[in-house]
Amino acid sequence: MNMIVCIKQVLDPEAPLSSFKIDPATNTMVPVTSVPFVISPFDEQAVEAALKIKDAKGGKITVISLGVNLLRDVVKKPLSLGADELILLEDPAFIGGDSWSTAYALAAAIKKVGQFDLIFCGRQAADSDSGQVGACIAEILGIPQVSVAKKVEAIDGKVKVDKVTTDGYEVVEVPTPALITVSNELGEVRFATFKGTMASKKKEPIIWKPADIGAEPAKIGAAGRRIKTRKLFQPVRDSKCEIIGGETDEDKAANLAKKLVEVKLI
Amino acid sequence: MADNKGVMIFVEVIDGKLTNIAQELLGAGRKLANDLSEELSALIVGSGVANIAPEAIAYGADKIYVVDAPLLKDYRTDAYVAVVEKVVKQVNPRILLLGQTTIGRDLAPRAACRLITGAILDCIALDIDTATKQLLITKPVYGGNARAVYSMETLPQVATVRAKAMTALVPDSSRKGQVVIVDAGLDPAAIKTNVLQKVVAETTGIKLEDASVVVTGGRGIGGPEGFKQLEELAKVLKGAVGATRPPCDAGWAPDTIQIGLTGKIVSPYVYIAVAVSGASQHMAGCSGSKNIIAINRDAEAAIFKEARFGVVGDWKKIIPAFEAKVKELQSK
Amino acid sequence: MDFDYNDEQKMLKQGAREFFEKECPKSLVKQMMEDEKGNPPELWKKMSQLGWLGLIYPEKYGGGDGNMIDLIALEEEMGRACLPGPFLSTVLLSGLFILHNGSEEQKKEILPKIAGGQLILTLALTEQSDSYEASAVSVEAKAEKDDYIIDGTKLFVPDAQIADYIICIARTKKGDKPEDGLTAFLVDRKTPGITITLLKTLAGDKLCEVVFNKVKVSKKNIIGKLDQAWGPLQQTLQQVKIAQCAEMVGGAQRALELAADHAKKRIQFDRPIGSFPVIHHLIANAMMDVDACKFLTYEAAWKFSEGMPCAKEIAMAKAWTGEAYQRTAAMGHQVLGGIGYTLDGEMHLYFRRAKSGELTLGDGKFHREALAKELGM
Repeated sequence: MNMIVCIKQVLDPEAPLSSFKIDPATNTMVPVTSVPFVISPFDEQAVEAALKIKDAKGGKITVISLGVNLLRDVVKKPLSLGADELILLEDPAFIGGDSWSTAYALAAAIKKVGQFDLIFCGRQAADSDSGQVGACIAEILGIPQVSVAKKVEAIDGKVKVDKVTTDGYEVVEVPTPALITVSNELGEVRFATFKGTMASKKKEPIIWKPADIGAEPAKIGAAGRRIKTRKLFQPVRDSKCEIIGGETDEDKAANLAKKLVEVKLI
Repeated sequence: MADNKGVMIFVEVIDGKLTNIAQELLGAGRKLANDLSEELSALIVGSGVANIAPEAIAYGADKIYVVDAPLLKDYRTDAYVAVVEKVVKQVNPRILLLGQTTIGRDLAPRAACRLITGAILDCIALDIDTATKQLLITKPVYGGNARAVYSMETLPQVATVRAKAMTALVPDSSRKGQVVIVDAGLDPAAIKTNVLQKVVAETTGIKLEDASVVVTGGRGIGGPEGFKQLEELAKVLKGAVGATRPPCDAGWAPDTIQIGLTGKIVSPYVYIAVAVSGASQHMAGCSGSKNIIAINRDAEAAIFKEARFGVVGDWKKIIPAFEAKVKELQSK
Repeated sequence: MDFDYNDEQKMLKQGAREFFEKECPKSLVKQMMEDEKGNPPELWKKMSQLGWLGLIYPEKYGGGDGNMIDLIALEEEMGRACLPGPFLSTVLLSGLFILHNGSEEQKKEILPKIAGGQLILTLALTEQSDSYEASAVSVEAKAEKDDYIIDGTKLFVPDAQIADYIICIARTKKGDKPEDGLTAFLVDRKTPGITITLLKTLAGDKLCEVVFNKVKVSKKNIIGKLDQAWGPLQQTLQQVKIAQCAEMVGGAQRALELAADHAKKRIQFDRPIGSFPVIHHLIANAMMDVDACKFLTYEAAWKFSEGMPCAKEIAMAKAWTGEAYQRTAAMGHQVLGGIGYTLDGEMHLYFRRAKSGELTLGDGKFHREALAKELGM
C-alpha cells in the first residue's frame, strides 16, 4: 500500500493561554514566551492510522508537510515511528494560505509523488481548526473521501472505514485511491522505539519548492486565498466564581449541596 | 453569470422531522435574509423527505427545494456533493448554510471546493457587513482560545453552523411558501461510496444534548470506576454524564459522551465539572451552560474562571458527600 | 560549539517526556514510594519494548547501540518524571559492569535479558559506612575448592529486594592497598544464606541491607578477574555517575519550572509574587545552578562518548549537581510557600530525590577530594 500523510507543524496547543497574544497586524496568535512546536495532534493520529495499515499490510508511507521554519526534530517524528519518506514544501510562497491554497499545493505535491492508495489527514489543525484541507485535496484529485475516521481497514482495492457520527459510527466503504481524515477516536498514538528514532537519521527530508511541483504562484499560499481574515480576538471571560468553603472536603461538599438547593439550581 | 441572491439552508431530517440544528439554521437564515431583503430557501435532500416542506416553511423558509431519490437515502459524499452542486448552480444563492454535523463537516468543504468558493466550518455567529453585503463569519480557533471573523468574495458564501449557536423561530404554521422539486440527476455508477452499517451507541437514560443537568468527568477522574460514581450522581440529579477528551482517549468513557470542540455541544441548566481543568477545547463544548459548577483540587485551574460556583478539593471525597447531602435535602 | 542534542536525540527526549507524562504520573511515583517492590511491571515492560533498557548496550547483546549522549537525553526525562524502578541498579551499575568486564557467556546470558525487561540485577558495594572508598569493603569471600564463601553485610544496596542477581564486591585477598584483592561475584538471589531487608528511605528509593551468611558462589560466577575488580568497578561507576547527574539535571530543571510557573500565577499583596525582586533573585540563582549542572554533565558525557579522559569533569558534575539540585528544590519550596509544603504537591519529590542523588555514588565531599587529586594535591 502506498500511503501519504499530510502533517502540519503548529505551536503547542497544550501551552497555557498566557503564552500567547494576538498580533493585530497579522491577525495571528503569536507566542510571548518560548512555546514549543509540535505536529498538530489530529495529524499525529493520521500518521498512526497509516502505521496501523503498514503493520497489517505492509507498504510505504510518505509524509508531506507544508510550512516554513519546519523544525527537523518535530517533522521527522513520523519517520521515527515507521514512516519511510518525508517531503517538505518549505518556502515562503506556500504559507499564509487558507484551506484551498494549502490543499492546492499539497495536491500538486501528491501528484508528483505518484501512485498512491490512501491519503490521511488530520480532521482539523490545532490552530486554524478549519477542517477542510482533506476534503479539498480529495476534490482536487477527484478521489473519494471519508471524514472523521476512527478505524481504517484496507481491503483489496477498497478501504473500509468506521466514521464517527453524532451518536455512534457508520461503516463506509470506498474504492481506493481515497482520502481519509482521522479523529482522536482512532485511539492512542504509538511511541517511537529507540531504534526507530535513530533510524530516522538516515532519512533526509526532501525539499520541494513551488517550481518543483508545478504550482501556479497565484494559487498557492497567501496569493491563492479565497478567505479573508477580518479580525482575531479573544473573548472576554467575565465571571465571578463563588468558592464554597468548609473545614473538610466533605463539609465543602455538603455546603455546595445546600447552596445549589438554595439558589434553586437543583 | 447570474446574480447570486438569497440565503439557502441545507436542512437535515431525523425521524420525519427537522433536526434541532436545522430549525436553528432556519432561524439564523431568516434574520440574514431579512437583513439582505432577500429570500430564504431550504434544501432538503434524501429519500422520502418531501413531507418536511411544511415544517421548514413554518420555521421560516420562503421556498423549499426538495431532492428526493432512493439513491439519497443514506448520506454519501459523492451523491450529496453532486446534488448540492446542481441545486446551487440552479438557484445561485448568495449564502449557503449547513449544520456542523456529521454530514455538514463532510459536505460543506467539498461542495465549496467544487463550486470554486470558500467555506468556514463550525461558526458561532453570522452577520451581514452592510457596506459590502458580505457575510461575516465568526468561529472559534486555536482550540477555542480565540475567535476569528472571516469573509470571502466568492459566491456562494458557505458556512456550517455549530449546534445551539443560533435560535430557531417559533414555528408559525400559517406561513406560506413554495415547494420546488428538483431531480437528483444522479448516475448510480458514479456513486462509489457504500454505507455498510450504522451503529448507534446504546444510551441509557437521558440523552446528553437534551439533559438539563450534566455531570462531566475530566482527566482527574483517573479511571473507569470514577465514572460509575458520576453516573450515580447524575441519576440522583436526573441528568446525564459527559467526559472531556482525555478520559475518552484513555478508554474510561465512551467517545460518544465526549464534550468539546470536536465532540458534543451541550448547554444544560446545570453543568457540574468534576476534575476538569477547563481547557478551551472542552469549554467550547459546554460554555453555553447556564450554570457551571467546578470541583477541582487545583485552585488555579482555568475552570474556576468559567464557573459560577466552585469547590477546591479532592473529588473522591467531595462527590460522595455531595450526593449524600443532595439526597438528604431532596427527601425533605 | 554546538551544545545541543541532535535532532534524533531531541525526538528521543521529547518522546520520553510524553511517555512518562502518560505512564508515570506523580500519583504513581508517590504510590511507588510506599510500595515494597517500587517497580511498576507494566511501565518496565513498556520501557523495554521501546528499547530504552537496552539503549546503551551493543546490538549483539540485544541493545540499541546508543551512546552516552543518547542515554543522558533519556535520563534527563527520567529525572523530570521522578521515575521509580531499578534503571540505575540494573541497566547501568550491573549491566554496564558486565558489559565491560564479563565473559562472552555472561554477557550473552544476561544483557539481552536486562534489555528485554526479564532480569533485575543490582550491585552491592557499600557497607555500614556508606563510603565509596575501597577501605570500606570488609565483606569477605574465602576460596573453598571451586567455590567462594561470601560472608558479611552490605548496606544501601539499591533494589536488592526485587533483584534476580546481586553483584557482590567482596574481598578475596588482603593486598598492599585496600584497592587490591577485591572481586566481583554474580550471586543468584535464591542462593541459601542471603537475607534482604528493605529500608524505609527519605526518597522512597529501595535501598536494602543484604546479609551474606556463608553464601556459596561458584568461581565461574566471578565477573572479570579475580582480585582485580576495583579498577573496572571505578570505570563503571564513572560512567554511571554521568547518567545519575543527567537524571538530577532533569529533576532540577522541572523543580525550577514549577517554581517559576507558580511565581507567575500566585497573587499575594495584590500582585504576582514573581514580580518581587527577591523572587527574581531566587529564580535567577536556580537558573544559573541548573545550567551549570547541565553543562558540566554534558561536557562529561561528551568527553566520555569521545573516549577522552574525563575524571575531572565527572567529579565536578557529580559534586556540583548533587548540591545544586538540592538548592534548587529548596528554592522551589521557598517560592511555593504553604502549598509546596503539603505532600499533595510535587516539589517534595524533587527535594527528596535531590538528597538521595547527592548521596548516591559519592557525595560532594567525596568528589571534591577527587578534584583536588586531579590538581596533584
